[in-house]
Amino acid sequence: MSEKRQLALMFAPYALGALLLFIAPALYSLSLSLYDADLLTESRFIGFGNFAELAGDELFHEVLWRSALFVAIAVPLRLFVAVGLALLLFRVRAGRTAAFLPSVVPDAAWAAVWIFLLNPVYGPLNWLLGLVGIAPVSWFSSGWAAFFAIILMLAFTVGEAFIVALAARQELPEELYDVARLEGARPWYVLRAVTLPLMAPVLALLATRDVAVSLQATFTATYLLTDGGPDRATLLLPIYSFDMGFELLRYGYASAMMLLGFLGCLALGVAQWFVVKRWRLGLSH
Amino acid sequence: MLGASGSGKSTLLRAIAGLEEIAAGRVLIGGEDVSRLAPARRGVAMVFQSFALFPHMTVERNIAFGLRARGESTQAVASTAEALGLSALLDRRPGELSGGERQRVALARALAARPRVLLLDEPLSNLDAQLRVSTRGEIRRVQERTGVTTLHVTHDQVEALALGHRVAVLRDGRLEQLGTPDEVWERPASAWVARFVGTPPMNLVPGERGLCGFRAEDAAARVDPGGEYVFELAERVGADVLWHLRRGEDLVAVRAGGAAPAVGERVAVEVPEARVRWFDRETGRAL
Amino acid sequence: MVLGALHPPGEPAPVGLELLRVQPSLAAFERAFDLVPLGRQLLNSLTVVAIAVPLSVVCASLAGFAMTRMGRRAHALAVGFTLVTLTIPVSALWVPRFAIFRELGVLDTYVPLIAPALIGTSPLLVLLAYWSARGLPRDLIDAARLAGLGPLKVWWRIVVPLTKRTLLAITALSFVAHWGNLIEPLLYLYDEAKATLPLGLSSLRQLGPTDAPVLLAGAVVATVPPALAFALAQRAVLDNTRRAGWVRR
Repeated sequence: MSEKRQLALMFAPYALGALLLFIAPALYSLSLSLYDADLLTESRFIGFGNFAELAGDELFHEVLWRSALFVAIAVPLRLFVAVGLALLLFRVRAGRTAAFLPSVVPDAAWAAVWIFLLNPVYGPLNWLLGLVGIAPVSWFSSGWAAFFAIILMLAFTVGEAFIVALAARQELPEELYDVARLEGARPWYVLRAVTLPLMAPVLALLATRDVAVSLQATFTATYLLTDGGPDRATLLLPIYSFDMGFELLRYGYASAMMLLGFLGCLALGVAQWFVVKRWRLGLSH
Repeated sequence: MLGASGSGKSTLLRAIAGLEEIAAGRVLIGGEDVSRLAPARRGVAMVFQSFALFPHMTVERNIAFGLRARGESTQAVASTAEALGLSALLDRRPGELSGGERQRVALARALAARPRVLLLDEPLSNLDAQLRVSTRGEIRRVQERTGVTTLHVTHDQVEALALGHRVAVLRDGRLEQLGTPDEVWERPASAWVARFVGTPPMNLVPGERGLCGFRAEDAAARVDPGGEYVFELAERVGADVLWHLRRGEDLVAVRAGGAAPAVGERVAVEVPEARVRWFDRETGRAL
Repeated sequence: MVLGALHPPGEPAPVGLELLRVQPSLAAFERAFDLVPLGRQLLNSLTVVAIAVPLSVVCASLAGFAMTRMGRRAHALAVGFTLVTLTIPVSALWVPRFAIFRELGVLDTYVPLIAPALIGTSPLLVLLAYWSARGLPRDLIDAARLAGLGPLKVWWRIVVPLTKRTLLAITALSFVAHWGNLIEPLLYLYDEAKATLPLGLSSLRQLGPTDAPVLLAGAVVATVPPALAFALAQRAVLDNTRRAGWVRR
């Protein structure tokens, strides 16, 4: 077999997987979003009907804004935790295991742990709050409390971003830091002037990816902890579209919704990229 | 500071800078013990082998890095850049510069803080051969103009002898010899230094008082049927032609003129007594 | 999680420091296994990872190495595509994936759960394999080619042994991802007998939402295998990743 053929063969499983799991679904989603489809009876072509309906669907708008708010809080927080830990543990081996450990726990088990931690009666979190004189919070019956409980719970499972940031930091030449030491630069200055700008491309990638990852992670959390409640306070895009598709069997409508979410992520990624690029090239003197 | 790779010269330089902790001994700069001081308080600046320029900063920002980090005035940047011919490049980034230009930026950054001691860690090894010679001259001129005490680490003996007012030869972490370039060349402290310094290395053959050492250019060779040596090959090195000769186990190289003899022909070698150096057969120290 | 699981079920839940005052009891575990067929589900989960994880590692490593040897444009396309897939929310593809698997007639089988192994579980793991393969000295690969080894043999004899650490890390990360997968079994499996462990935890949650020790016992059971997998590979995942050749030099 020729080299070219062997290489093609080696790449084939990945290409097949990409076709089956990304390309075909993306195209199918495009077409599905133009149909009124329940996947049981004959689908009906309705053009941009689904999108027109979305434009007027107040619940969808609410879910969209809430998801945007979630992303705006959760992504910076998760990145701060992951990158902070990576920079702290860059020279120290101890503690890395602890930093990664929450990410090893299966999502469903992690949710079970938080059901316990957040229990309003006997949960350790309220007990701890009680120690510093804060009245018990009823995490699952107050909307904002539940919303922030989800964010808190997802602030720990940042193992992937942690190891990527760790690897990126290890890539930076040690001599640059020798220069900083010789010149008497303070740690904050080094962080601001050297480390963060040099890690900027990786940080941009992590941020873009985390928009998708953190949103995705809310599914298990909301599915097992809050079921979108109380009073829709934790109803976010993944669980809403899941309900729309797999509970209400409105697959076409769910597809249209997810397509918008997908485009939103893409636009965010592109925007982040340009911001970081400008910053890195120092155009913003 | 001259030494083979792994001889500890970079470690010594980093210890002087304070980047490496010292287990014993002291570092004195101008008579002051700086062993316990943080790197930034020692008044040293360093140019790294890789130049260690910040890729995301302009030349101007790179040169001013230390001044900005300490919140000092960046007025000196312009004159330092001027002195090194970098004025036109201040807005460029390291990625857009040639090797020689990067080298000058690294030097400018080191000088901008007006250090008491300038440490250069193999600053020429990342440049191509042509550039190396011109940059060598540049470093020497900068040193003479600023008068800053400069420690230049290299594994290249030509570079060491050309640049140094004094040369320290390191071997396996120990100081083998400290002297002027002339001393190191003329009176190597040991057989090892004699072989390490010079191209070709000093010839060493067993003699009646120990190891007899002589340089290729100090010996005269001529074809002589009664000679002790056997001719093996001739080699042109720049302006000179070297004859490689054998006597039993020993090989020597001698500068010679005229037509080369046939392989295997006998050759006699003469060295003026004053040009011969003797070394102890056991310890290798100069006698 | 572990402390809570060791408390006996049915009693008032421990508050504050009572959590530490535990007389270890396995009653909560017994109760969890009674409520939900956790043993069966444990086996099902193990079956899935036993197939999916090795397949993930092989596919990721093959694709990663193949990407280092492609022509310029194919290479840019493959790497660019992989980077883009990293930033796509998978939830956006649930519906069409479901429809496609239904067309293929593989619903209620493990095929949809194992299929992501083709893309190395996550495209990120393919990128890791690619970065580590690219970190290998080019001369080494060229020497092997001159000796007459085809790409497959080069992969098996040179790339695999020299990127062992990265492959170990990929194994662990792939294990953790497959093991914790809740959404895909939820979408594609209907037969109770085929359910995997996360589904079990989900039904445990519905059956005994107030009995904390039981739920935590289930969580412990679900966490032990990936924790073990991670413990075995943690040096490869967390140590000096530069030496492991994760990122390009």
